[in-house]
Amino acid sequence: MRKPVKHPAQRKIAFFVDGDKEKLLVEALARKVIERHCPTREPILATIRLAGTPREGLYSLVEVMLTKDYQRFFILFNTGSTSRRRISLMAGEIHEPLVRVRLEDKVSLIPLVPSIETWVLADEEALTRAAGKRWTGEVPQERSRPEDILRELLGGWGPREQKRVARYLDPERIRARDKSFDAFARALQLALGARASPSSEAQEPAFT
Amino acid sequence: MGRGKAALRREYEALKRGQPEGQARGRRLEALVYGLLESESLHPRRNSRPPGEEIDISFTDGHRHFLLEARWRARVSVGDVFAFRGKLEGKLAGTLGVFLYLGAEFSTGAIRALTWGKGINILLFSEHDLDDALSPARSFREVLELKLRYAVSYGQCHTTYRSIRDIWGQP
Repeated sequence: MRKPVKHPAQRKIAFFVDGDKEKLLVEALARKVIERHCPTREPILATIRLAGTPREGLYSLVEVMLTKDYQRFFILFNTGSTSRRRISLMAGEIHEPLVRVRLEDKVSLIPLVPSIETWVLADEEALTRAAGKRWTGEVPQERSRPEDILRELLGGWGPREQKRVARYLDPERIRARDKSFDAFARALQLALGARASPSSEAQEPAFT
Repeated sequence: MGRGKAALRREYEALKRGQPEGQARGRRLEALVYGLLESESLHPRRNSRPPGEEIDISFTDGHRHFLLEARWRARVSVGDVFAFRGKLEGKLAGTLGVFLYLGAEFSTGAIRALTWGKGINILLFSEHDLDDALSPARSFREVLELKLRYAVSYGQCHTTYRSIRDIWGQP
């Protein structure tokens, strides 16, 4: 009699993000990373919008998701600043309570510097396709706030534009240009038990 | 008769867009929250502010009594939290606190201070909670009720309405 084939237990992974826009983009990118690197290990994904939950209290949401059998957690937070000191302080406010309740090994902290729009701006090909036109020269990155740049490039930056651009985003292109996304993609691959493929020269994790 | 929810929502958006000075902004926020509570028959009452206290509004859903304090400032300190807890302790046993904060970060230790020692009697309301309470599809009552149920289940008073909905919606 043939033995039943044993499948490894399905992984349950939870993302914690600031709001609707981050939920849409993180879910779209995570699915693409999984599809490309671990197509046979489709996990159960959950995304929780923090909506202003104080950073010091995030550990408690992780605790609740543990009771639902989630095993790995990603906290992605907009820093609103490029100051290393400020980012480190924000990460510390999340990390310290996690250490206190001994959950730090299950959680990856991914700062979005200064916001998730930086990931989108790192993929010029996707922006060109979403805008339906090619602009001359490089996408302007330094001029003003990333949201304002995207509003200008795509003729708006609401849910409709976000959905449109999410369809075209390519994780490998973003990894090559953005350290925090690279850290996210590698941590996600590790969480799925796949070998993390180095795609960019930047190999330092954001905060893990 | 109080203002309609659409008018309150417009006023809220205008208040967020504008930059009135600290005290004026606080008073307008207080008036807006009062209007919202009134529109949902939660019987708000402005408190007379005894010296040294800044309780803004009390309200009741007919079964439970609440004190609400609204803050619109850059930071909420441990001292702010303990001061609010102190105010609640001087009131009728069973009175619950709603601490509404807009645009504020919490100092280290402020969240722990909410649940320090005795039982939890305060719910934190974030700006997004107020957004949801003022949205056409939701109500302050609905937001309050869900946050109360979550606090009862998990002993956490700082989780936002959207987080709770996302958590309880997961397999």
